[in-house]
Formats: sequence, structure tokens, C-alpha cells
Amino acid sequence: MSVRESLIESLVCLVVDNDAHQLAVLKAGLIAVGIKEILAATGGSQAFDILTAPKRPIDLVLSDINLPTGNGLQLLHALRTGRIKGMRSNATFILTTASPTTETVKTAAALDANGYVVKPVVPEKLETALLKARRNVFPAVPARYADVPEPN
Amino acid sequence: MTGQPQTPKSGTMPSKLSLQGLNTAAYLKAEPQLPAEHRATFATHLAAALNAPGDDPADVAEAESILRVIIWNTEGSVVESIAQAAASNPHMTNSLAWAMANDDEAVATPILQSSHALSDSELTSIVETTESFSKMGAIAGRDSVGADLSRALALHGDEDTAHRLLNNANADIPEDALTCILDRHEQHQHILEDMVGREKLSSAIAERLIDKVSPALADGLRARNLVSNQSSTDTGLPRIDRNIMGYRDEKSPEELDALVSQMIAQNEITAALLVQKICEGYFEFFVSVLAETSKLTKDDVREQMIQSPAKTLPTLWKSASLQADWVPVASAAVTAFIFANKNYNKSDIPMFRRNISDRALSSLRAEKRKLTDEQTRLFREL
Repeated sequence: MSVRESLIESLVCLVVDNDAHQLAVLKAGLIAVGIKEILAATGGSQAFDILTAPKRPIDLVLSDINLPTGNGLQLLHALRTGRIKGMRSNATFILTTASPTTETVKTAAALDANGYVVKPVVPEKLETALLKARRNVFPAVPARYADVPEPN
Repeated sequence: MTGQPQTPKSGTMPSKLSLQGLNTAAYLKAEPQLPAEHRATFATHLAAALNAPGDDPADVAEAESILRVIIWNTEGSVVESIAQAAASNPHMTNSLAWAMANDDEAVATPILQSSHALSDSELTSIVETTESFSKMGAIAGRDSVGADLSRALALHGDEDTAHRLLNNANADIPEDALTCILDRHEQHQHILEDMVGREKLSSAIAERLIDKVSPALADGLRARNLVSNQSSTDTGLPRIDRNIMGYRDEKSPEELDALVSQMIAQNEITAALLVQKICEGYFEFFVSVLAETSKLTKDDVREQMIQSPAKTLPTLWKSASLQADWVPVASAAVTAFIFANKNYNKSDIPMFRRNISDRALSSLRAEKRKLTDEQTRLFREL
């Protein structure tokens, strides 16, 4: 097993998507790249609850932008501004979307998202995004995000 | 081309890329069909041209968004060439520079070294977070490095970072940062030489350097009037040695032992002298006297003083035949010294000493101790 594989294998990942089919596709993609421990949520508030009181430290969040209760950008905003107490504010966070827009890219960039993957998500694309996201650790400075308006 | 989403097409790129009509969604739709080399050329041109004077802000936002997506999702050489182009673009946006500065070393290095889009406080936060000495080295070589950034580099960087920082004439390196570099890297002769080469050097730093550098460099320091023409022992200034607590006057522990034995034999050791020595930071002198008179080892005395001076000092004091009314004063002075040694910079000698005597006096006042005239006089002189 390569170092790369063993590093990915040990990650605990939370996948957030309200579409059951997409959720299954993303989980399958994560399993295909070697991740073994995957938690799932179908909405922003459910994800927030899991992140606030995790049974194990969560290393990576993979969240759709459009969600029914609180969207992916709001979840990222809460994380970066230090409002999710169970997590490091600079934890790895990758956004997924089927409909990319300049506005969501701009907000994701302002919140230092570690990845922005456009659907359909194939395992190869996911692995590239994952490896890159894990290497790019932004400084944990919650004050940096104080001026970023809470996304709608 | 307005109203017509622009995406890169095969063939050669224009020398000056127009941002007009760029569209993120259209780019992402076209991206899977683009050959890798065209994608790389397009992204590089975009990074070089971004945010030029006169560009429409809406076009800049679209171009920035496309570049951000490419940076997020592309590995290796494409992002490296974007970074090279971005580093030399004087109008590069802060958001993109920040993203690349936190990317892999190969991507981050040109940005960290050259881009003016990043502030010193942003660079400081990168220095405090990254484990990459290569990134720190790039920052140390920038054409301007402020005092706080220098402090962070001195504290977190490796030997090479210190070397690059010291050789950067445009780096503002305050004295505490130089002290930090000396504390961490004084075993490397080339770092000492780099430091001697700095244009601005305080006397305190020069005093630390003089015994560690070659005779020629030491002469150079003397010629700059940073230190006296005598050796540091003869100047009356204490030696600063990070391996001992406080200061020492003598060149070696053997010389100190000989001096202490001689002073005891000639009845020159008094309670006032010992308290004066500890308030001046000469902890080793204090320890040596009490070790000699109590027949304990210096290590034992040192340990007892660090653990609980109030508890152990009365016995040691008695064995040295010193006046008992000085015990609370000596105990307060030792406690104050240990605090100062842990929390304050030894290289600022007057401040370090002032801290000890002020703290000792404050604690005696808090305990409502009445000082004798001799004790009051000593603290006044200190």
C-alpha cells in the first residue's frame, strides 16, 4: 500500500447531499479511492449536528452546495468562523455542485474551500480533488472570514 | 464578443488576452473537451492579464472565478505556470494569490517570493501554519519583510530561512528576532557571519557575537564601535550563555569556583552581596557560594532553589553563616529571578535586572516585611 493510499484510507469523511442517488454515487466514489469510514447527511442542519458532536474526529467534509436545510456554503461559513466547536476551523471542506456559478465560486473562495467539484463526480476527479484539498491547509484565522456575509 | 461566452479554442493564444465575455459556467462546460496544453496556455494568459487597468470588474470576477476553479481541480504543472504568471502580474488579486500561496510548494513559492497581493499579516499567518521551510525561505527573500513577519520567520524558520532573512537587506529584523535567531542557530558559523553582515546591529547582539565569530569579524564589530576594544569579560558586561540560568562573569565554571573559594576564605561573602548578585542575574555565583558552604553539589542547590527557595534557603543560609534577617529578602530575590529567567529576554540586561529587583521588592511589600536600612539601601542602588 502506498503512503498516499494509506493516508486516504484513514480519513473519516462526512458526505452531505439531499439526493439519495448522488449521495450513493459520492459514497461509492469515496470507497473507490480507498476511504473506509464515511458518515452521511441529507441536509445542512443534520450535517451541522453531526459535526458539532462527532463520535470520531471528522477529517473531511464533502458537501453539495444546494441543500434543503442550510446549504453547503452556510455549513462552510459556520466551520470557518469557528461556530462548529467540535471541528478545527481550517478542516478540509470540499464543495460539490451540479450548477456552478461565479457567485458560489466567489463565496467558496472567500471561505477558503479546499475544493469545488462540478458534478458528475467520477472517482478520478474525486481523488484528484481529495489529494489536493488535503495538501492545501489554510491558516486557521476565523477573523479572516468575519467580513464574508453569511451565504443565502 | 460581448454577450458571447468566451472559452479558449484550439490554436495560438493572442499575446494580450481579452477578458471580455468570459463566463465560468461556459468554461466548465467546455473544459472536458479542451486539450491539456490549451487549458494550460489559456490559464497562464489569464493569470498574466488579470485585473489590468481598465478591465471591467464583472469580467475580472468571471476570469478570477475560472482561474480559481482551475487551481482547485488541476494538479501539477498547469497550476505552477499559473503561479509563475500571477507572481509577475502587478495587478493580481488577493484572493487568487492567497489560494496559490497555500497550495503546494512549487505553486506557492513564486507567489510568496514576489507577489505584492499579499499583506505581511497574511504572510505571517502562513509562516505560523505551514510546515514547509521552502515556503518560509521564499517569504524571507521578499523585497520587503516587516518586523512582525521577521519575528515569525525567526521563530518558525529553519537555518536556511534565517540565512535568507539575514541576507535580505530589505528585511526589518528587530533585536528580539535577531536574539531568537541566535538562540536557535548560533551553532552555525555562517548564520553568525550573516548576522555580523547586517547593517543595523545593537550592542547587545554584537556582544553576543564577538566571542563566537572569527577574529577578523570580531575586529570588524569593534571597528563599527558596536563593542568595546576589550574582551567582553573586561567590559563589566555579563556573558549571556543560553545553557545557564541568568548571567555569568567568568569564562568557565572552574574560574567561578576558584573565585568563590577565594572570597569565602577572605570572608568577603555577605548576605547583601549574595542578594545583590541574584538581583543582577548571577544565579551561578549564588549557587556556587551556597554549594561550597553547605557541602552540597551545585546541581542539588540549583534544584532546591528552583523547587522551593522559601523552604530550603534558611538551612543553606545558616550553613553559610549569613545573617538570618536576610533570608526572606534572598528568598524573594531568588523567586523573582526564576520568574524573570523563564519569562524575560536575557539580552536586554538592564530590563532583566530591573524586573528581578522590582518583583522581589513587590513581593516583600505584599508580605508586609519591614526592611532594614541596609536592605532598603541595596534595593535603592539596584
